[in-house]
Amino acid sequence: MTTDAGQVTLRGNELPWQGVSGDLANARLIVLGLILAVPVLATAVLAILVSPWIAIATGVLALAGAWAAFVIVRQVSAISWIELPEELVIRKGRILRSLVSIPYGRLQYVDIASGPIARHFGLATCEIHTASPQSGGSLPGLPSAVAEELRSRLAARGEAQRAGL
Amino acid sequence: MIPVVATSGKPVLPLGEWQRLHPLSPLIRGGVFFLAFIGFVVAQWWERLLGALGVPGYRDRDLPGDAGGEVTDALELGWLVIVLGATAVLLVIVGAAWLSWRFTRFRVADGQIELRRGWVFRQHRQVPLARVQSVEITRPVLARLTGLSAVVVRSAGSGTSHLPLEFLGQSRALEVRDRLLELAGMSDEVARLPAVGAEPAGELAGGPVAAAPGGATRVPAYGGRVILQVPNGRLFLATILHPGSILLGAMAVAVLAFYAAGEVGAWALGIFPGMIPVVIGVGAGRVRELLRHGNFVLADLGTSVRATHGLTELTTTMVPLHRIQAVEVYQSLWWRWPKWWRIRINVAGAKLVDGGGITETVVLPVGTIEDAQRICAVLDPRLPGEALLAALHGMGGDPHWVGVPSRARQLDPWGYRRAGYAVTADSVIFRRGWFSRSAVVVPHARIQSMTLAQGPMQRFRDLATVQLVSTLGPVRPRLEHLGTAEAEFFLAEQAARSSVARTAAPITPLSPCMTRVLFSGLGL
Repeated sequence: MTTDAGQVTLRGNELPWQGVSGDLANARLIVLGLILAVPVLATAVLAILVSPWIAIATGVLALAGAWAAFVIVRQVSAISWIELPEELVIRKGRILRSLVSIPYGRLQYVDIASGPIARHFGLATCEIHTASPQSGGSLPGLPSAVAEELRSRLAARGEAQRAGL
Repeated sequence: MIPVVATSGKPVLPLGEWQRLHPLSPLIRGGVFFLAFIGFVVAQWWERLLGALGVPGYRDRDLPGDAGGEVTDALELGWLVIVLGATAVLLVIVGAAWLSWRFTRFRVADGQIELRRGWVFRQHRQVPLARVQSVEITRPVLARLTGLSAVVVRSAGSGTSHLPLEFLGQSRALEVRDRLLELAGMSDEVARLPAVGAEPAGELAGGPVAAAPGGATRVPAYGGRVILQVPNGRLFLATILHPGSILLGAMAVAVLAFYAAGEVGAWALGIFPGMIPVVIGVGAGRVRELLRHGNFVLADLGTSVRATHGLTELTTTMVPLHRIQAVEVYQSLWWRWPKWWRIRINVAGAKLVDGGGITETVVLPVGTIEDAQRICAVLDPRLPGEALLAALHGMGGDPHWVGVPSRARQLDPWGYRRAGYAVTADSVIFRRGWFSRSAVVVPHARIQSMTLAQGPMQRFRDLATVQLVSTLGPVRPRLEHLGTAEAEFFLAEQAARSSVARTAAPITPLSPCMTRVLFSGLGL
């Protein structure tokens, strides 16, 4: 899987960056839809029953939802990662770009987490922890099998390259 | 119930049964609110007080002469309401405190330390004895006034995984601490503690004691070569040179001066009660700083340094040198003129506590540039002295430094000339800040991970921020607005350097007790 990483320039594009599953966007869109459904429906019903002016609120909510959906799709396509010989590098974000580089020797443990919706799409989040609470990287939207493989690979490499604090 | 402690020092009640903390605990935990409430009450009475003292402008208002009985009655009624309200609030506070005390219990059973808290929102925290990293005794200001101590059990988990037993009577706290250390298999730590009531300060004041034998980590509790002692007078001045106290002091002087000059009326004095919470806030911070860093002595034990400090309670912190993750030499704007510096460090495995934090991370509370250099030479012997000087005073254009490009000027109008990094054989040095100056030294082998970040403003100017992630601590090694290409280059190069340094560094397991906090019986 590759992304349109052409716009995400931190740390070059000549490396074979891997993107995350496009289903992550679907999963996040569903969550967004669930959150927005109740207020949109409520304002729509009120607009019909009470005053058509309330339809403005419905419109605003719908617009905000569309914008959020746009952002979600863009964000998910901007997540990419790569396993270099000594480190795992994760890139995220379009407007606020970030890149975190975690040496295998620094890994303390790796968590795999998935919520009900992500599980429905067969996705999992890989959370990487080091000795510093702020340095961990999280890699969402990996197919469960890939996440498991990544975890065992990371564990093996972490063990092989383990370094003291 | 808190068991009565026999004079022999043996616990009357074993730790295996559920037991409560000291009844005064909730009031001390909620100490700030309690003080704020008292401040409020004082504020209510302030006008009366001024009236009684005969300050013009207040006398007339509070002592209505021939205004008639109705006004007096209304006044009396108002005061009655206030007094009743205050009493009610006080009762509620005491009631809540009592409930909190009733529902807070702890015990040690089945290899676990357990603490139950809360009535509405119940919390049950367990820490396996095998995971205990250290057991410390701490005494915040209010607890010190009432002769209580907290026993804080720190475990190997993340930052919030400690278990505080707040508060116990002093001797009970000592017993619980010793017993827990014993149960956690750290009996040797118990033996190393000096007897309670011992007076180590005199020994310290006696000057350098014999050097530690063989440079071993297991050194007598008080030995080693004294690197530096911070004079309390200098610490006092440095503590006052702080934005909060400077602002408050200037305001108070201005108000008093205008009042004395007759420029403003007595109403100006009415500002003071409103300022009480602010004064308490600022003052408490300054006083805590003073109490904490008073009598500061730093000693070199060969493989570790020991900081002994505390004005009323003596605290000892041992920092093994190989656990130091990052060092920051810092100078706030207010210390520019006296040319003072402070050194903070990140230590692996240290726990920074929310409230009453006690893991000491300051190895130089205030000192001259020579003091700072001397300490840096001990903390990191391979750090070149001129590199440190360039990091502290340099303004760009130094041959070994990579600075930020001048297009960073709009984002950091003053600091951009100073911001930059240098690489030595063993560490990276970041320098930054024009008003407040800071230099951060991170050994290559100690970098946890690295991040690169770029916001929209930075992308527009082709800049990026580099952060070397260190362990938890006050030092955040960060360099903002480096050119994107330079930042990426630095990251790649640094990854290679760190990798080499990591494989060279020996693997050290997390020792069970890396920081140690003791106290003598010197407290109030």
